[in-house]
Amino acid sequence: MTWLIGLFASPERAEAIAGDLEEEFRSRAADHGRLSARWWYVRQTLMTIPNLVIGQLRATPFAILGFGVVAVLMFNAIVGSLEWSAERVVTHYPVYHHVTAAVFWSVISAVEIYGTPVATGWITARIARDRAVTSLVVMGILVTAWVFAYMVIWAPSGVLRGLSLSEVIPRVLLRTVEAVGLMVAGAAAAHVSRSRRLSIG
Amino acid sequence: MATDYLGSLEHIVMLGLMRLGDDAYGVSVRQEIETRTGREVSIGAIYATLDRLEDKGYVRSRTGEPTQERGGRAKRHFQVTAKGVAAVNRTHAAMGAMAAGLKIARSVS
Repeated sequence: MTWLIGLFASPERAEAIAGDLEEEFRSRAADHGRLSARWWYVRQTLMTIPNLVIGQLRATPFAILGFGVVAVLMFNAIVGSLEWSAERVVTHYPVYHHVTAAVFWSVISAVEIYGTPVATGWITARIARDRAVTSLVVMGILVTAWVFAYMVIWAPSGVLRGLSLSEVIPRVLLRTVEAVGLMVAGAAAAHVSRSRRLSIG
Repeated sequence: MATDYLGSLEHIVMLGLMRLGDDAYGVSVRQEIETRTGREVSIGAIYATLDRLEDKGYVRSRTGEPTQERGGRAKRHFQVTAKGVAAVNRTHAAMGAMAAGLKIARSVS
């Protein structure tokens, strides 16, 4: 679980924390057994993450917000480029002679839904390093709050397309959690790949 | 700032650092607090507090040598500065002034 701490702390801080956890884990394993020590280790790691997130938010709130905004802009730019490219391909090449329109657009849609958030998370992690995950989660919360507020305010003017708020809100929430989750997975993958490269180098 | 008092965890961590002296690092501070106060604190909370105290100039840190029992990872040692000692004294003085004459404060403990 040490990699989890690396997602929220600088390499130097992550090393000190991981070292402390390992030292105490070994001492507890010798005194109380491995199972108890392992439980303590998992609990300590999970208790540590909120402290690291709050610490980052206190220390660099504008950077966290800035990286989050960059991530949202990047996400929209990638989605826009993908859709634009797909339409150009369909216009200029006889794609439908090789695959049906349904298959083609399903693939594009899958790349948009799953590939784009992962790519956004990956790139954000390359830019924001140990602040990427906090930035993505904070931005996810803010975007969700904004979408909910927008829907509640504009519900009477038909923005929900005939659906009720109680039907729309769980869908939006699920979609946001899914997108943020995939972004965090992309950021985690970038972090693990970077750590491996550093340790090999 | 002369009116800057320590928060409760900051205060406890500073006292822990003073007690431990040269042996103050994440594990020892965490265990010292747990042993003396019975309060379980996460290592993340300790580091978040230490970072805040370091930003204020109340503590300074140095990286030690990597050791085997830490999986080859280095310790980060902490030490209270003169400015930190002044902050502890200031906080104690404020606490003492607020508690002075309050019999109830003693009867609770």
